[in-house]
Amino acid sequence: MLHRKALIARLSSVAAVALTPFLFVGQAGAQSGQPYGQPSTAKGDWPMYFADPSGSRYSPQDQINASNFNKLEVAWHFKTDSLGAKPEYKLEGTPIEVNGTVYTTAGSRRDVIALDARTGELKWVYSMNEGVRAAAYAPRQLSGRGVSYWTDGNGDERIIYVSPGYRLVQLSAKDGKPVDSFGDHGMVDLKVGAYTGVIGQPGVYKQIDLTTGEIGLHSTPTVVGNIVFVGSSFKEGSQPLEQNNTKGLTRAFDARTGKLLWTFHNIPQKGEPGYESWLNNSADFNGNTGTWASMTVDPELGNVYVPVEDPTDDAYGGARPGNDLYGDSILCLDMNTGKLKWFYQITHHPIWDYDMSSPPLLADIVVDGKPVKAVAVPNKQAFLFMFDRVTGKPIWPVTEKPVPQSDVPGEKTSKTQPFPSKPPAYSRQAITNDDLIDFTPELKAKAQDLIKKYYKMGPMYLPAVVSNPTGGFPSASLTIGGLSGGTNWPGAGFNPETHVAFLPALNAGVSLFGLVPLPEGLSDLKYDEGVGGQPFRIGAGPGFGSASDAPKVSLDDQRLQAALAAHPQTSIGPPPPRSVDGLPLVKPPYGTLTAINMDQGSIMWQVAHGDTPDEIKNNPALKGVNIPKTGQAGNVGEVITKNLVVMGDPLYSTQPGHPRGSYLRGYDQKTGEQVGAVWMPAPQSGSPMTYSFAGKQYIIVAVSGGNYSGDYIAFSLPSGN
Amino acid sequence: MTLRPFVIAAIALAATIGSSAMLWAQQSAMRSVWDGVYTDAQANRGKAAFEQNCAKCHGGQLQGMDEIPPLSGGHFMADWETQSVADLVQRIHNTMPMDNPGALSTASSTDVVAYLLSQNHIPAGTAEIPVDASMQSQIRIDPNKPGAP
Repeated sequence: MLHRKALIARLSSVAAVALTPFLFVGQAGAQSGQPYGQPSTAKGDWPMYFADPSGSRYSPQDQINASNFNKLEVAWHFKTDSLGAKPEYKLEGTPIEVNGTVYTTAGSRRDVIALDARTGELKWVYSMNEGVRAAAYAPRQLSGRGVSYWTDGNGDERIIYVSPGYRLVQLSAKDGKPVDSFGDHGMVDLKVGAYTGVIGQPGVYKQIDLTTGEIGLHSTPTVVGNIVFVGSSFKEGSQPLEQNNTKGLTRAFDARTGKLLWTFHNIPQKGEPGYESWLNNSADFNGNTGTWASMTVDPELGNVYVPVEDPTDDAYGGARPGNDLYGDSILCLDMNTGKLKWFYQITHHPIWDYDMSSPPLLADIVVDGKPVKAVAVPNKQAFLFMFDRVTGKPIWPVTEKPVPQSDVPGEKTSKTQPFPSKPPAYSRQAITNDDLIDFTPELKAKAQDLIKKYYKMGPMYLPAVVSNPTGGFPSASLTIGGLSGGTNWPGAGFNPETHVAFLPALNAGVSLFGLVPLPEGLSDLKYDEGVGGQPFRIGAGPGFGSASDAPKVSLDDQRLQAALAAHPQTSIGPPPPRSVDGLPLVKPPYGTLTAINMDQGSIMWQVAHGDTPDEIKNNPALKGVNIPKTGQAGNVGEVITKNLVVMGDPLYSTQPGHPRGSYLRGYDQKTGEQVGAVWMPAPQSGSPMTYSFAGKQYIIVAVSGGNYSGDYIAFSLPSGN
Repeated sequence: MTLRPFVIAAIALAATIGSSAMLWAQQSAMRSVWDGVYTDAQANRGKAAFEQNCAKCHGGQLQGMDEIPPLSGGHFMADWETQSVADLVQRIHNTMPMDNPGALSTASSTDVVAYLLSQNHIPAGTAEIPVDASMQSQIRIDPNKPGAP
């Protein structure tokens, strides 16, 4: 057995890693001899992550409705512990279902499983051990968000997913075997074609190393017609170590053969439109700007809608002056050629972590009596930007308004940012005095004192500050929504029949933006996020390094340790507090669900989502204080049926008559009234979906967290109902 | 001396009742983390282990980041209330830190839990949390002191 270091060295120099797939071979689905054709929600299926190419998260099922939601019981569940080398506690998948079989990813190795849709019986498992490529170097690990499906409509059915090591893999839906005719025996190496630098400039252009290069994906590829659309994603966390990081790509592949159809450079190359928006040719040596949320598609128009994230270094843009297209933009590309039809940049010169976090919603609406093919973009900033998806023109006026300017050396913020006139913001965009905790006057006063001592307040688009190295004011800018939203990766959805969008939002996502210089010798970056007077830390993402077989110390940490050994850093004392007596700095509601009438651009209703957390409800300091239902802070997604919006809580709580657990809630779409809540053993960690098969409707939701490892739970009505 | 059968039976019966009572007493002898279950010295060891292994993801102030949960305050307590110290120690020992699970021995994981309790305003006592899992399973995590007004 090779010593680990030698093994890594050996693998790094080899273009192709020997993969060791494991396959439990069963047979999926007891189908009749007739091909099933194309699946659809109308047929009762849930064939895509978000139901259909428009991203609606909608299925017209109504067997489960307001009159019986509380009668839901667990039909079956699939506990994922034995998949991967250790159990996963962050199960984020939304399964798909086609004609009686459920398909999804699960486990810390991102296995693919097929389950009987009625019983949850395991039909087959596909497991691929990618070695250190997945374990050590993949920026997006664990089981990810699910799989996609393709069929020729005539019996050839395939499951498609992106592995942690960033391979596009196709499996037969019947038995999970890799489809030999797709790519290289069932897989396309997506790292091929990923690069840093400038195409066509030898010495500057660099294909990333196939094992160690940084690029990956959690979200599902989008499959429409015979095209697979694949995004790209990088390390989580706000302490990148390279300005010249891997460049974000949006790509399309032939669904049958895996042939690359086109590549769109999210960071324009010289000569491409948008290149000049990066001043001083800085597009050449910047990266990230990936497409980490799934894309949506209008096959009639022939368009794919692409949500793009931040460029390198979420909070400091000194090394990329200018607007930095297409960072924080929505793109409309020709689905067959990848040619840019139109784009809209939601945040200019992005330094607030306001990534386009979720799939754009393609809704056909009626505005002032006229039909409009619209695209609505849910966001961390809680503006539902709405555009004509043919032309890219905003449906309601958007005004470029002056915003606060940065005083960080080397930074040059955009003088203005776009503010839509409609619909109104649907959760907090800034923290004002009125937003502070106010359960008691004493708590509010404490919050005000804390802020005065350490944190800079301001309106939306308040930029980061250099964090005071003595630990005093200002330690950071006090903002909200940047890191966690608003609406984050679970996204939103809409009812295409009523033209109403339903937006989950975190309303208490306080984001402290303070910048510190990096330790000497560590990197070419000037500033990363940090706290002045504290040793520099690299915040690793929750999945990074966590896959089965992850090695001991991450590469980044090795570099950091080397730099700190040369120039040690010490703490000046305890860092500034971020909460008030352990309670959140901002007042409730902590989490919300909002209904927006897209025809009118108006908010129909908004409710707090989730019961008041136990620590508030049972807090001795708040005894006697009347606190209305606060909702819960977290990022959760929904499924929309004919009349309900269904969404689970992000936290544990203890309600009368029930053991500690969490709740899956049904809301009336018209009024926001909660029509029911069913107990779950753990919080929702993946967005729910629904399907009907053999006359029965099911809702599947992924739960995990705390002491409870990943579990897919399927609910249905009791038999006989 | 020979015991009469009746006495022998009575003694046997008393012994059975006695051991059952002891068992019942053990099972209902769950302590709360608020009963002074760790020491300052243990929490300090835990702090060092935390800074070395945990702070990079969970933050130097246990504040979490994005999807990484905080380890002090309501979210943490909601995740772990009514679970036992053994549950939390095992979770840390088996799956944390995410990039090097198993790096923390059961003893170090226990020390980390002591540190987490201290950071959640739970007072120390005079005896350490034992490393024995069966004894850890008798210590319940409560977000507030039981019986507090």
